[in-house]
Amino acid sequence: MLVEDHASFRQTLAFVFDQQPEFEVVAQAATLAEARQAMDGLEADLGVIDLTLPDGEGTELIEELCEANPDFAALVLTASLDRTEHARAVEAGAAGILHKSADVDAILDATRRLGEGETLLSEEELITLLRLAGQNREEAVEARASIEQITPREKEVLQKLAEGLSNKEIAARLHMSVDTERTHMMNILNKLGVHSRLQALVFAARHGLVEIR
Amino acid sequence: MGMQLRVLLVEDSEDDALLLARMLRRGGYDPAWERVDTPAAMEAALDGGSWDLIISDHSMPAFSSLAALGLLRRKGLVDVPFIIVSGRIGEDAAVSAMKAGAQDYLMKDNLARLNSAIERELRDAEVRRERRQAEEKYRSIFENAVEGIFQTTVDGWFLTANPAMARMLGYESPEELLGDISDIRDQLYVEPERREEFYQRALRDGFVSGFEVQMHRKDGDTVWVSANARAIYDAGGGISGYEGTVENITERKRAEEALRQIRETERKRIARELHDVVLQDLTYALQSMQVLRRMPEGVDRAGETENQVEALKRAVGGLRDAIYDLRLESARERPLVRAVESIVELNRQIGEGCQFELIVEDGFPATISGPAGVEVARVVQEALANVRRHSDARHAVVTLGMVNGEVLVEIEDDGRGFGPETSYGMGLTGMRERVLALGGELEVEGKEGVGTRVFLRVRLGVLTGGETGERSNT
Repeated sequence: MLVEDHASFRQTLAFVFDQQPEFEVVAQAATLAEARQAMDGLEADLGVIDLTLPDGEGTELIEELCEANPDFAALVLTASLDRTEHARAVEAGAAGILHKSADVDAILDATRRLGEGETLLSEEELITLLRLAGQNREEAVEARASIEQITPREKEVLQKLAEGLSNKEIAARLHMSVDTERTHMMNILNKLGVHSRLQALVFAARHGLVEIR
Repeated sequence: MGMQLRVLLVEDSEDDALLLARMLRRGGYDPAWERVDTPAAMEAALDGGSWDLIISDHSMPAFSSLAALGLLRRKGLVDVPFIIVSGRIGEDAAVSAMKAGAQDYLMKDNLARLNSAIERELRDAEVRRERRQAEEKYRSIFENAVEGIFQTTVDGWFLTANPAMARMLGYESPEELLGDISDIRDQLYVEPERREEFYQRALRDGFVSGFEVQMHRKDGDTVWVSANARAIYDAGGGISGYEGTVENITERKRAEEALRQIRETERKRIARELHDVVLQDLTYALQSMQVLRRMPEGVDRAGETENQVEALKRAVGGLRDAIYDLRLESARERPLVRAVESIVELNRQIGEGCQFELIVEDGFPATISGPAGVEVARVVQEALANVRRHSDARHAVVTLGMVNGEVLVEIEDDGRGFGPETSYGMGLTGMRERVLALGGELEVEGKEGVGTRVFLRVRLGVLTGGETGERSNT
């Protein structure tokens, strides 16, 4: 099963796989939705799955595929160097991770080894990644907890900050005194555990608390 | 004409006074003298003029040399020599008069020594006056200095501290500080092991300069100080203590920390942009090129190549922006004017369709450089990046000027104007944070369809390193 939104690459990959006697491409998908549709009644042993798909993360799909078939082996293709993303994929059940810059032969080789029951990740790597995923989850929980403390009014202040307004302008726009604005901002910094407005903004943007146009 | 000498004679006998005056003239002086023989008259004379010398009889019907000395001290006239010239008064009386502050005692029947005594006393009085003035000056500096002044023992007691030192550490008075602190290392140092570093430096060089250390204040707060001190040695040649000054650099440290965080946040932002945008595009192009020769019939190869080119173009654009953002990292040594020049030049190269102009007004100091200057350059950089990315401007002008000790920087464009519809978001917040850390002000005005004006002012002293970013209260 091939899940990859870059169509010409996916088609080429399918073409090359089909040329190999031991492989048969049983499903192709460009999105999570397409993949879920194809999953129905599918009997696939191996999947090559992109992590970044137009309608969501490949990680979810890996989890669902492994749940449906415990013997399913997923090879992740990703353009990300972010170890926490790799960790999440492994936690979801990915059996191997390849960077997208790998050439077709490397992909074929890795898939072949997975098919023969080999493992691509050493036990050490696996444990490191799983621990990272755990830490990452804790951080995400903490971040969520921080965000939950933010009041709607504080969120408005953050949103105005994201629009590049100064304290005075934020105060004026939200009909509050400059002192009140400062109090809100101090509370925001404390709640998010950061030291500057800029850091607060980066945090808020990363966790989808504000929109930066 | 002899040397002028203003002499106050405390003497009940006019004849004796005349005799003394003659003696003085004979000794080469040109005395201007006045005779008094009551406390009231002496006080009036002291108030009425300044005197080089007082010659007093020991006992008079309505006055005495001891009472005259007492009056003199009460008037604070400690430097005027006081010589007793009297009939025989006995050893005990002479000793007590000398103890009370008389400089010399001569007998009326033997005045041969008078002139040499006067000469000596005038000289000594001059020395005393100079020493006292020096001491007063020192005392005043010590009491009123903005810097803390201290003497400490090597094992961590204060021997001396001035009021500024006490205030810096949150104490009411030097006495309270001296009483409370018996172990500087453990009670004051936030990192006690740094006291050892201080000792080692004093041991090696005999002095310690620019030692920056964080200390606990009495109120639980902390203060950053920079200490300059020299070692004091005991008879055996070992260090027994230190004396020197400390300066409160908390605000400077705070500003440095704020700037460090801003830079750190920005580096992370740049890394994220490289990862999320540039790396994705490059990976796409590479992946696509790697499979191109193996693509099956029916795949749109021409279209694929076009996509590759687009991805590579975007990647180049992203890299160019990142390089632009990172470029100032090495600009510390360059003067601000040069740094801004190169930023404007860079924008000319990469900003298509917009003309960039730099105006450096007369009187703008060419020598500003250093970390604070880099922050100003970064604001210019960020403002111009906004012009390029968001404004659609045809023309942008950067003006560097200086008015009333403040550096003024203006970045003006004729683009679509910063309004509710356009958002500069992160960049503008970064600019504001920087200016705030420098204790300056940033104004951003935008009129839709007219353009945007970014206006920045920072005190010159902050940029030349003499001042911190702390806003002065005056």
